[in-house]
Amino acid sequence: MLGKLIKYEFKSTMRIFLPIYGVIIGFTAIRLILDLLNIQLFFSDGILITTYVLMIIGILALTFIVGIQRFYKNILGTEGYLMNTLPVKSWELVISKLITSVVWLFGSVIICLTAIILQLGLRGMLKGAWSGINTIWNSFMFQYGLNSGFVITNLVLMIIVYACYAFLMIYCAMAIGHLFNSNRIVASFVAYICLYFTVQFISVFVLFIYALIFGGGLNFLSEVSDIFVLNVINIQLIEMGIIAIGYYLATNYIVKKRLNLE
Amino acid sequence: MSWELKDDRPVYTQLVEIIGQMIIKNIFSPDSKLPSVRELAAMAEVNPNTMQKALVELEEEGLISSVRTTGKFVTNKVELIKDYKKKLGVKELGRFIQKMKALDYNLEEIKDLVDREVKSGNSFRN
Amino acid sequence: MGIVLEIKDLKKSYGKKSALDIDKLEFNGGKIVGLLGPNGSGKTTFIKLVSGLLTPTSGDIIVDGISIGVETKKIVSYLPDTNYLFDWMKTKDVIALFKDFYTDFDEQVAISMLNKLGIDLKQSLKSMSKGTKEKVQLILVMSRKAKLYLLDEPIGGVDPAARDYILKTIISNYNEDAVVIIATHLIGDVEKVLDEFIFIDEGKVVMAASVDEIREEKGKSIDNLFREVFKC
Repeated sequence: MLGKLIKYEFKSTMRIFLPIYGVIIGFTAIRLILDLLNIQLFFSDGILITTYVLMIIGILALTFIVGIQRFYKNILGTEGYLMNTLPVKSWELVISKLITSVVWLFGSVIICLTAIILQLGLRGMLKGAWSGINTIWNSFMFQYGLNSGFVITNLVLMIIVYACYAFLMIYCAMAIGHLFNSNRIVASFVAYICLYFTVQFISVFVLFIYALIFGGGLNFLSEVSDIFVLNVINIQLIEMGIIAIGYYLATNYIVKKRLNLE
Repeated sequence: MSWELKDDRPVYTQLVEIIGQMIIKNIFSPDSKLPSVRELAAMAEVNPNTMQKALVELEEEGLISSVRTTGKFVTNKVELIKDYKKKLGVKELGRFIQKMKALDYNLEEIKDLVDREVKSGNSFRN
Repeated sequence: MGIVLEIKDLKKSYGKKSALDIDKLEFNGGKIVGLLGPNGSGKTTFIKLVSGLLTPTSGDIIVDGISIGVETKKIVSYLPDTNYLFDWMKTKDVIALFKDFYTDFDEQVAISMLNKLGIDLKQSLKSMSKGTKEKVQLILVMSRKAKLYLLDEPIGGVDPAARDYILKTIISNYNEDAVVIIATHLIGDVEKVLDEFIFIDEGKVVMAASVDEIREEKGKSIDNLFREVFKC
């Protein structure tokens, strides 16, 4: 059933994302063609870069908004009448939303990166910058004895964990808001803020403990080692993973045992 | 002939009467197959269980019979249908006489009145 | 045919306010039951509790021997009192969805009923009139061979012709061993399709009986009885 849910979730969200991806790719393609034909555009590189930055912010924001809206409307809102009377388990509902949202987030990131690389790469606008980035990257790899594959895998893993964490935190806040009989949206916002600060507190606390044990005391900031920094990143990743699981369990519990669709 | 139902009596007794009348009037002719319970229920817009109850009663009257797998049939005994018609007629006449008695007619007067009206044709245009 | 739906000590309250409070109710298979009451009497609350959209404050709801959950959702066919299908879908998409998720859904039955109404399967729900949408919903819900049908105001706000169509669709399609619960305040319109009825008011069962028995005993329709019981 999870597969079928994911299928319908993609069908529902495709209508929003594909046209937008299309616009970005189309825009980039037109720019490239004009460039190849040596046609001067009316706007400067500055405007172009601003446009791209805004576009990236916009599309990432949209990815999150759609993720939120899909969960809220489809499970806790009017469409929940259908979704919650389908013979599927509540965890399948939550996970299908999560997987779809994370995949679209990846999609959005990849589309944006591709668009930028095409622009920058083909136009040769920042050729110098490219080789600069390359040098920095390579020396970084060398310094820590890492290889690119390992780092990229880790990076992807980090994005996945972070995306799951971010979406589940929002889901959880909405689920907590759903426990109230009225003003559920306000309650969801308050729940989000509370979750945010709780997690920040835990995070600082964990780092503090870690620093006490491995960092040689409270003045760890002055004498950090590279391994220490890498470990901090790993700890944060694990921490996020654990908190995300907590959010998931809470969300699933509420959808399963405390559902009240008005 | 319509499936008009009144408010004040059980639905199934009214269905018995309506279907009985349909058989008398040859809308459902002798030895013909009746629509299924579901179809009849849908026609009358009533609950299939209620329709079933009515059909059972008609079966007890002998007007219809079940053939195990193929469904329900109207009886092929035309005599039986005639008897049923007579039975209903007598019942209806009884009601009529009761009403006339309430208007202080005696049986002789009722008979005279009926004869006179039939001859003049005033009240019986059909 | 056995008990299809069983309610025990069911309570639903919001804060201190009680929305539903039922000691005991049993629904036997093969019956069409009217859940009748004025607006705000708890009909929708009842239906939503049984369909699993609301969580009871306390008590048990048992469908075909199972507590509410995934297993009961497989055998319960629910028609909400609002549009609940996804607007962007075409009729054929919704059919595919029902076929995907409900093993008891009979696609052929649904398609033939839609064809009879002249509904284009490629038409999107968004472009349909409210009445057509309601009919599509009903057709889908009645095309399942469920054990329990929960119909919330199926004839609310439709014209008499549509009402007749809807009632005919219900009585000619429900599964014979199933229980059909019709929640409505339009009693006169549904009473001839009912076997039994339950009067509900302020979350409590006021009366539960067989329709024909009441007609026989009291010589009046359920509609008239209702007007008496709920006289303002």
